[in-house]
Amino acid sequence: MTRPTFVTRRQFGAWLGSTGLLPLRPAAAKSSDPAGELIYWPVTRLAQSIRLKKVSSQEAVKACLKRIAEVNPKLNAVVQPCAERAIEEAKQADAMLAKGQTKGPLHGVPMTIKDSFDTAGVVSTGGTLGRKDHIPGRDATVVARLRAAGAILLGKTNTPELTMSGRTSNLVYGETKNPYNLSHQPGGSSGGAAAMVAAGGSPFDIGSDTGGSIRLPAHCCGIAGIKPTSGRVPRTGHLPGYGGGFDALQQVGPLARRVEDLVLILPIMVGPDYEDAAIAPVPLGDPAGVDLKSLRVAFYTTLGEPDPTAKIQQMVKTCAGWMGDLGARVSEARPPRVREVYEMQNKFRGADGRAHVLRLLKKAGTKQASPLLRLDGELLTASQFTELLEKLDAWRSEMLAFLENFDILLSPASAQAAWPLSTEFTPALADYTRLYNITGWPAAVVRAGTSPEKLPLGIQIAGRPWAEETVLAVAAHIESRSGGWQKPELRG
Amino acid sequence: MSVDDILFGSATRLAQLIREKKVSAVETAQAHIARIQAVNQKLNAVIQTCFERALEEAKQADALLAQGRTKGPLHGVPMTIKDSLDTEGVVSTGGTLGRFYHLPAKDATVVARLRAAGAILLGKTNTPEFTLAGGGIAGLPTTANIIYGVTRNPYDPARSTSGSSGGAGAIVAAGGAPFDIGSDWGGSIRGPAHANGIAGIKPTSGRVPRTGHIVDYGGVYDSWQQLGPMARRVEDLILILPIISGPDFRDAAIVPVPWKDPNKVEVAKLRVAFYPTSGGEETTPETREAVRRSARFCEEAGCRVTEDLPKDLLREMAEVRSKLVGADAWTFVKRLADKSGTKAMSATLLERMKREQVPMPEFTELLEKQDAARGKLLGWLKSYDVLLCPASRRPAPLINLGPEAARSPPAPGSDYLGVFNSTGWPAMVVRAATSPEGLPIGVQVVGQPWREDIVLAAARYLESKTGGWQKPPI
Repeated sequence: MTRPTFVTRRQFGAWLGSTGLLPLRPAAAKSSDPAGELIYWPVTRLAQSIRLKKVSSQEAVKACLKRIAEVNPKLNAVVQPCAERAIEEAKQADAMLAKGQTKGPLHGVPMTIKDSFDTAGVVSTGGTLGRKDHIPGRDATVVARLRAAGAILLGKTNTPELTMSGRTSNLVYGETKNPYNLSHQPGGSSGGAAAMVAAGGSPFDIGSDTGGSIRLPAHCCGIAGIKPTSGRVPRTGHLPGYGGGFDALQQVGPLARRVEDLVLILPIMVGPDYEDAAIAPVPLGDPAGVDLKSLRVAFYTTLGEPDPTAKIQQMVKTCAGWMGDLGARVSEARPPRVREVYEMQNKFRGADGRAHVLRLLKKAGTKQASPLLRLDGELLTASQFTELLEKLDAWRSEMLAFLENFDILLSPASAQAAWPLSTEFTPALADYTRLYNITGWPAAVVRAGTSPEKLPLGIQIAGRPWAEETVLAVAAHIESRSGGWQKPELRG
Repeated sequence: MSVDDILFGSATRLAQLIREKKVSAVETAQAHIARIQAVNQKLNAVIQTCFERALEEAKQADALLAQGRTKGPLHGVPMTIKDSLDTEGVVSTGGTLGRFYHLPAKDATVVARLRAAGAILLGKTNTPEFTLAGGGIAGLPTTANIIYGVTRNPYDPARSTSGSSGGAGAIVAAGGAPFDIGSDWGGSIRGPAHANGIAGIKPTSGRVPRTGHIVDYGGVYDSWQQLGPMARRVEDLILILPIISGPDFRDAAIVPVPWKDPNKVEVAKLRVAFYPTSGGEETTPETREAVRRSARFCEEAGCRVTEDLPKDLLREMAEVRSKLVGADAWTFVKRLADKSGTKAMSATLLERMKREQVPMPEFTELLEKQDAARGKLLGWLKSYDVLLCPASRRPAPLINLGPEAARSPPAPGSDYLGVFNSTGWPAMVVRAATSPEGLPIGVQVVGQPWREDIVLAAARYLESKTGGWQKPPI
């Protein structure tokens, strides 16, 4: 190749790239779906393309807003847009780039945020009527961190009231639908997030997870999501916030179409904020440094009645096989005493007769609550409560002993694929996810199969506490074999 | 090498002398055994001994050294262990009658880690029942229980050792053991460190596994309870704490936050807050002066020093704590008694169980308030690296058998220790002064969560200025 006499900087860069003299940037090398439309690009590729000025932030923001306008009448996923501000911020992002500056690794990248997070200047209801017009003065910690890293908020995504249901429906905004079949649910509580990300209206979103609220929507909508270790990401500015008897169950984490995007976004969110006192400064490992073939992998296809569908059980075995192909040591093993623990947890959640929920409603000024919000519970005595907590902690210890032999646990995300709108959500649908809220371990979901009804099926990948890098590395490998996210048809 | 060098030097120095074969592990063990035998009649601090096994292990340690090998950084160094921690093959009562003959089959995690690092167990040190009967027998404000009786202060046997790690505090101060491991649910490491003039640290919640402690992991009070080392010198805490830290795959609350090296802390750059009194019951003038003097030492070092008492936030936390303590009418202790097979419990514990149970809606609200107070206090602490305050409002009190001493709780704000069990922050005590009666006065050094390195570096600096531990006149 001969070097042209006069070249622009971009041409020179392209030429240098074509010579093979420069290594490919890792993000570029990993990016999936290179031929697809911008709205389906992984965050990694979008961020890099904006940085390299191959596409402007304004183009990206406008393309996503256009897609939201197209699909939202069907999905009802984005419930509060802030399009004008987004376009204004995109302009500023492009102007900064023109001066050679960037805010951070997400410079100019659009995002949506679950409506249970406070967003400064943008109505944040948490799905409860008392906050119908609530405009926070301050971003939630994770929102502030993402915006400081350059991300641009397009709007808020739907959540059940106070995030406390598996069904993404509330009295403020109504119900969200599944982009793969509009007569099915998207899962919950981060259902608006998952539906919109799957449909290409948003590159990523932030969910919250107390019993599966990131992982069930990721499963139902065929995307990737991770609930980090308890203590990893501050909940400041979330509704419900940090603290109280159920504090350790609730975590905050990213949802995106591609695992590589979770790898990019999670590090931006983690670490103490001097408000949420449960957050510990444990360094986050690099998934690229994980030696997959040295991992000890356990899998279980069922935790008993009701058994997951045959297709789901088969999918778990297939994923385990993919790990085995790499040389990982794979065996079948089931966590101990789970049925007993479900019963204990059900008791635990209702121990104060849901007084903690009533306090949240009162604080929000809500007079009428959604019928989906559980306000019942068998009131325990203080003595029964402290004993129950001791027993739950004893089980957590047993689970750690079980985990001593493994690095990764593969399981179904739920016993069935995205359920129809007519289905009433029961805790049994969250049996596979809520286990890891009790242990506090990191757990991700990524699409690994398709149901006979052409609905996505996710695999759940749980790991040792604070070993998100291992969970994400395994999720990325499974995604590379299964293909992961697929474009939805928005039919049905 | 004099016996005094062996008995009253630091554990760090002793470990070095043994490694360099300037003194043998057997000589070291023998010297400590003789010292325990000499002082224990007065102190009643070591309440179970395993001298034969210790001498056998010391012989093995010397044999290993002769081959040029060591087990670890504590090779051949003797230790005692608070009786609330399980020790394999050595009776571990936790001060409760049901465990009178209890011989654990397994060491507590921290004990196993210390022995793997080469430390040699000499015996167990006294604790009130379950470490919680802070009042001991009939409210005696010292370390005492029905099985082994009263432990006495080496600086004045008529005085309290404080509790619950009072046996540990007394014997370490008296030179009977280079170090011990205490537990701290409401001041139980720091109170005895203050009363006995030594150094002791309660690490951050989540730092050290409680597996094998009589009040182990789990339950609603889980985050209050921490284990930590007690020794005469701050450098020994720096040596020992990293050995006992980190997950054991049993205690689910333990977090693998990397240990930072206190030697890398630049004391001159620290932002220091202090309060000589929290405004509760009167804090003695000497105690207040000890805190002020420590603050001045920090100023001399170049620190930015501010007098700052977050009075309302501390009061708020203290109130929540006092309501949470016993919110279940101490039935968690009743369960411990049942598990231990204890039929007759200390009078103090029985007295406390007369409390009404808090209704559940209020209970979960208290937990919310505790976390809200944690968040607010953390916001306050963001501006500081180190907080200096009293460990107690007075030096070790006389052991008082009067019943009113047992009953009257301290006025709100009078307790300088428990609030940092509630926040979960690392907090330690090191001797900083002497009272007019000749008793030790400790200063409390508190830091941001997971910054034990800063707390220890600041405490070591203060110790270098004040002299720290002084030999008791037994």
